[in-house]
Amino acid sequence: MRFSIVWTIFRKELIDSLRDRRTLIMMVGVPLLLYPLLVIGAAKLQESQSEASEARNSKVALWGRFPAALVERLKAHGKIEVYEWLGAPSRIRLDLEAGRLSPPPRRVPVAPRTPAAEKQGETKAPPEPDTAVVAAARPVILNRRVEAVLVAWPGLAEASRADTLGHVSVLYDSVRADSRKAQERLTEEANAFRLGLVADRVRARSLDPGFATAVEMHSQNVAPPDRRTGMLLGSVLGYMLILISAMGGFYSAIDLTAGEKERGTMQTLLCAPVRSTEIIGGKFLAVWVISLLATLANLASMGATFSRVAAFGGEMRMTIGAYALTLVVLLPVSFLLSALFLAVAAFAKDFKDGQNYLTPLLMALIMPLFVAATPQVELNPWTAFVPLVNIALLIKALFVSEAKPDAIFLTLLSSAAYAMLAILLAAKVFEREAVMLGGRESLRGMFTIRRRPGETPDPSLALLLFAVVLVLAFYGSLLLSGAGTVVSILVIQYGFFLLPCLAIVAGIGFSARKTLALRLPPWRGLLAAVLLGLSAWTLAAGLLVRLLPPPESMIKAFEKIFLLREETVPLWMIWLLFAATPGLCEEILFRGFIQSGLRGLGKWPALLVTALLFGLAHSSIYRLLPTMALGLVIGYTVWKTRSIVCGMIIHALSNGVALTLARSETLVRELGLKGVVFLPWSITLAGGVVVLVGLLLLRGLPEET
Amino acid sequence: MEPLLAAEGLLRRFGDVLAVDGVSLAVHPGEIVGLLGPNGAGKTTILRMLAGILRPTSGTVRIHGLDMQEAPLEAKQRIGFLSGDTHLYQRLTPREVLEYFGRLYEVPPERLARRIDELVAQLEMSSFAARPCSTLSSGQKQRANIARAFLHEPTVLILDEPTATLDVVSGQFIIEAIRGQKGAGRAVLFSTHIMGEAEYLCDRILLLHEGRLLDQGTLAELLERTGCANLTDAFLERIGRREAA
Repeated sequence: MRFSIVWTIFRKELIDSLRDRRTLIMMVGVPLLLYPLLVIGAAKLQESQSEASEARNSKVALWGRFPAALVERLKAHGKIEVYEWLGAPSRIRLDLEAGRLSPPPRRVPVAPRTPAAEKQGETKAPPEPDTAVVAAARPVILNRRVEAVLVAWPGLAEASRADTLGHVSVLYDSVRADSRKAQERLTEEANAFRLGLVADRVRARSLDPGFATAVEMHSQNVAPPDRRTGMLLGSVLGYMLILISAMGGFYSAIDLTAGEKERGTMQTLLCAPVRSTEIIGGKFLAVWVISLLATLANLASMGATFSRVAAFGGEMRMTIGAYALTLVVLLPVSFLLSALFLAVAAFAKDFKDGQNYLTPLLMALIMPLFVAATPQVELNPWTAFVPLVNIALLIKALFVSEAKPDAIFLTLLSSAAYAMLAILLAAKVFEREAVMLGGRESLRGMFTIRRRPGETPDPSLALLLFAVVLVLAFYGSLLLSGAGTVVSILVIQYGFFLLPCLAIVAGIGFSARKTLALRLPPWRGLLAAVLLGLSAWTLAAGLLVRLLPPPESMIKAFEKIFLLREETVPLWMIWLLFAATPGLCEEILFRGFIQSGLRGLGKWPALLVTALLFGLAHSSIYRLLPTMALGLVIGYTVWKTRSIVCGMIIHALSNGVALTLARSETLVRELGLKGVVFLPWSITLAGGVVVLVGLLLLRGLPEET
Repeated sequence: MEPLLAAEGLLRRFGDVLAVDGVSLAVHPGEIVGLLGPNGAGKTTILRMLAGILRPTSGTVRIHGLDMQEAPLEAKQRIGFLSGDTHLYQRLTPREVLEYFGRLYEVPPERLARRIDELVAQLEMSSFAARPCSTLSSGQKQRANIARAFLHEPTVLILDEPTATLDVVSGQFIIEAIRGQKGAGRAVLFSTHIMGEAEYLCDRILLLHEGRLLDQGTLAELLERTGCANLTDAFLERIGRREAA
């Protein structure tokens, strides 16, 4: 791929798209209007509604015989207009006056509280009984003759004098703001009246003021304002930002594919001396940049709007760091969506067709994001690999400052893997001439696997296998976590790493010898592999671990995974499970299939990318650097010796020696490592010298072409 | 003399439909060859395969001896392709379009600027070269398209009904521009269903029907073989003879 051509196509597509009004409106116009309208507009509307409701008098009907003091209190309120017996049917009035009606029964929970309900603080109350009084009051309130009806049940006036229990009901319409306001005012006044009565009774009996209250409860929210705002914003904004990021790329993806076909310019481009990968590269970059610009415009507009709200005393204060991190985590999202949209839109014949294809896709992608807005759903190992939802959850976690480095790493890793799959799909689509020339292409035709006897995999197949294996192995390990370490390791290594490799090599007919480097190594290579296997781990444990030390909890977890504290497990079993097995399976996958697939990129790009993928596959930010470095050493050895056997030796020895050392208290004591956190510099240095000797031995071997 | 453009046994299927059936042809330097055929004869499919836009089901295409399948970029570098339904980017100006394609064809920047100025003058585009293509007339657009096809000074020109959507005046301008390429030693393959254009422009004519070459030769040879007075009659005669057979 020529990057100058990709850049030329990208520049042209960007200029072309930015001259399109639809793109500009979606990118800049919508965010500029959306947030001020949504936030400031909604706040103003609520404020003015609340002011209007506060200014208005509440018209209430009093049904029943009330204590004179309460009626006086209501009349003196100033915002309550009292109408005695207004709208009360004569039968209800007669019954209330004659004391023939009783108050509704006291409401108690219907079912015993379950542990789950207890946990969530739920109490199930029975529905309100529809008594004759409620039935009579309903039309009076719903027809807006009054905003609420206050009912004094028979005996209230007497109870207030005789120090017994009286009953009052407030009947209102929860849908209407003015009725809710009337209910609020009546409840407040009735409560004040009740408290006055209680105080009089306590005084009359010379009781302590605490007699009737017994315990006064105080609760205080310890969440700082940032956290409260973060929870509120994070729940909504994750969803919203992903949607906006998608919408930013939506029109340009259609415009640059189906739109180009409709305008008849695709053929012009195809007759130029450019590769399909260069075309998709340039177009993809343009869509991605537009999507990012839309995201940036949204974040800026959002930040400006919220800071304005904060300036007016609202609780919308967020740090600039939270916005910056949000932009970073949105990078893989826009990457994934841009690639996916391009791949799908390329099938459309014209713009309208493109909209028909992309709208359902957008809906299908966005709908699950609602889940992320619910408070119970949080970022964890299960949700970290769910595309898009993981990013929405990560944004939520970032806004409440709860995102852990490993969670961020896993989320970005899985998102990058999905984005890679999407871009591979897009590249595959753009290779199809029928699609590019506006013809129809069946999905079956797209994904038909052609046998390629004697060949080796290409970079796209290597990356595809990595992304699929990564996701499968991740969820596989979660599912197998209950099955024990031995089963889990064996299934993942043989089932998810080794088997897919061998199946693809056999299925497509690749040369197993060339693809998996199945050759016997030269003696120098063998010697180098042994030296590197014995020493390479020291650099990881003594040098790279210092850069980003793993937390204590992770070390404990590894001790459990690697059965280091299981005295009954023999050492040979540890070597078989954690040295020989990964040495075989991971080497066949990474230094075999993936490295030979990436060979077309050139020596160092292939080695570096393979090492990076190897590091990423270990699914932890703390293990990334050490495993990457080890991967690079193994990759270089396999490249020079052309033999996977050397890779297997280094991998198995490296794991085996490190675990033996970690397991054996005697060895640890003898080497003076008891209680040390990092491998001492002396051992690291000695290890480094042996690594150097190993690499020098390899240097003399003829270069693979 | 070696042909600049040569095709051998070109065959293309679209599903069950056989669009092109074993066509072989060659175009030499300084030669304009016409590909004549009714709608659906397979002209566009053949020209797309020759230009490297469409892969043949079988058969080979060679440009300057370079196999299109093995060295597509090098082969395309030597081709200028233009068709009646080739369009320009509506939101770019003709000058921007030329700059874009110049970079795609990896024309060095100084040469590209000079070449664009030359073409703008030669094809009388100065009045509209800085206007967005969406505001141009069909004739102006096709001049800009011709400029795009000639920009990298290709030695092989593949032109698919380049005057199909134009009025007489614009069409004549394009025809003269194509005729000018002959003197520059370029190989031109030109498809049309306008017999007059073929008679005026072409050194040799290939008659195509239902994906197969029916006949080929100079105008005089075709007329002599069919005993007709003009190309239209000769063409109908050929089709009629074939259908009768």
